[in-house]
Amino acid sequence: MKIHTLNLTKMYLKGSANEVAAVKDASVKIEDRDFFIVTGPSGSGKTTFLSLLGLLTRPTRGKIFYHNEEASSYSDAWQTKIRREKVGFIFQQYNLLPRFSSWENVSLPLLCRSFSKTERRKQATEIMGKLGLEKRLDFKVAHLSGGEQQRVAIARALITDPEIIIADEPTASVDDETATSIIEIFKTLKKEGKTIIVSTHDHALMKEGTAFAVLKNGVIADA
Amino acid sequence: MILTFGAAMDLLLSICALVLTIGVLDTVFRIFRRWKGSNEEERYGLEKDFYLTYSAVVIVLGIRLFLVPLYFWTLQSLVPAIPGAMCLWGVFNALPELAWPALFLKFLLPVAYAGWLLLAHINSKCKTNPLMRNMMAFFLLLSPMLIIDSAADILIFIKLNPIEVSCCSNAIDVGPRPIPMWIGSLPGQTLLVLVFFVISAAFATSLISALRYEVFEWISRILTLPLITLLLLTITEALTPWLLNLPFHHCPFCLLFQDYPSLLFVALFWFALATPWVILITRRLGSETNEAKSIETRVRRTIVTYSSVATILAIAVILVDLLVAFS
Repeated sequence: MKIHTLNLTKMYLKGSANEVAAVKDASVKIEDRDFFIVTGPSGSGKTTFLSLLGLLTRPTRGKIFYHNEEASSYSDAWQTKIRREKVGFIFQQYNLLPRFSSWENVSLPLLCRSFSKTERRKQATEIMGKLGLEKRLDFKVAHLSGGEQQRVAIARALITDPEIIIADEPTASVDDETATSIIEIFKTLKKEGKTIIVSTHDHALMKEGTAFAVLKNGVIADA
Repeated sequence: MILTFGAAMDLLLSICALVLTIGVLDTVFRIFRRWKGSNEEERYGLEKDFYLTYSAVVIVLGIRLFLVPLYFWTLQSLVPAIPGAMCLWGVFNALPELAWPALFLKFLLPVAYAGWLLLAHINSKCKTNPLMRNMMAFFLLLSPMLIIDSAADILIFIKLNPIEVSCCSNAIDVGPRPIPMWIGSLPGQTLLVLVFFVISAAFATSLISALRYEVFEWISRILTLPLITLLLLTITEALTPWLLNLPFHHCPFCLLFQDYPSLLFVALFWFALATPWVILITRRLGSETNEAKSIETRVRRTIVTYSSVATILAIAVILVDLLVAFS
């Protein structure tokens, strides 16, 4: 089993009058090569749940297991190591660095792996070519369209060839045509045997899912 | 106060170490108190605090370890500034109430500092910070010593004045010495050196055996005690007169700063003698989980191996030095 969680709970403003339970007692099992869809209404805790699964935030209670090892109890340094080596993140708002060029954004994860600039550019060119961005290598990301920015973000997530890809509403901020091309990218990744965890409302993307979790008010209503 | 580059460096670094030590105490105590009962979320917060604290503690301990050679080098460089001083002995006697106790700290405390740094190394290799609480507790125990160590350096360099002192010859070489007369004779000196080499060889063998059998760690620890005494006696009673070619001179500082191989010999030997005690710290405080235990074992074995090599090297260095001196 790739990832599983046990009674995962995340509270914000714990102990205060405005305490919010973003995720409550969530237990899921995500197998190798799963295309795991997390869906639910806005504010239901999807982003928090994905952040917990990706070890970007710590649970208030409960456990997260990676390959049956309790990754939630790992130190920050070890969780960073897992994120760096095993997980690729695609964020809804892209989270790109606007003052850097597209290829520099894409190659950022390689900086932590001490690749030379030439090697980083080579790998970025290769992955961006696959995503149809070969003519946008030296463009500042601020000069790209929303769809192109999302593809740059996807390229950045894929450049380290991660085992797990976590995407938070990847088609939410783009037009239908771009959404279709992004779904195609996910279909290819699915064929390549990646474990994909996606939160989405997009029915076309949901069709690709092999496992589902529906969140309502932080609780998994259906899995 | 005698202001030189070394004295200024020592003062500045000691002030830094003192301020940082006091500055991190509150956080260290908080992490120590809260770590055990905390959940993952609270631990994450404490861990974030720990990173800054850890950096500060590493800087403090790094400074203290770096200051050991700098301290001796600086005081040695002050010899010409103190009337009557011919070596470190004279400099120490310009401020005896501080300098002599500080000398013991310089040899003893690095053992504990190295122990803490090794615990931090083992902890960083583990996935779940299993040694966090032990490290914090050990630092809390260490902190008074760290404060005293830094404060002693600050006071020594502020209060050291060029007053007239007696040189080492007046103090060590004359008058009733607490050393049996027969040791001063050539057969006595030779016997002393031979016994020292035999015990050193036994110590090295015991360290090598400690790689396989835990009982030899204790034998090594026990052997360090007679070896320290023997080392001091051998240096003052045999090596100094022989290597400096001064049959009635016994000052160890003269030897160390005039015959550099013997300085290397003492440094290697000090490392070797410290090792059994350093690994006592890592063994006791660094085996909280199976993962930590296996890393600690690896680290311990590495240090013990280096230490065994250091002992053999130390013996080789001094043997070559003696051969060169007598040839």
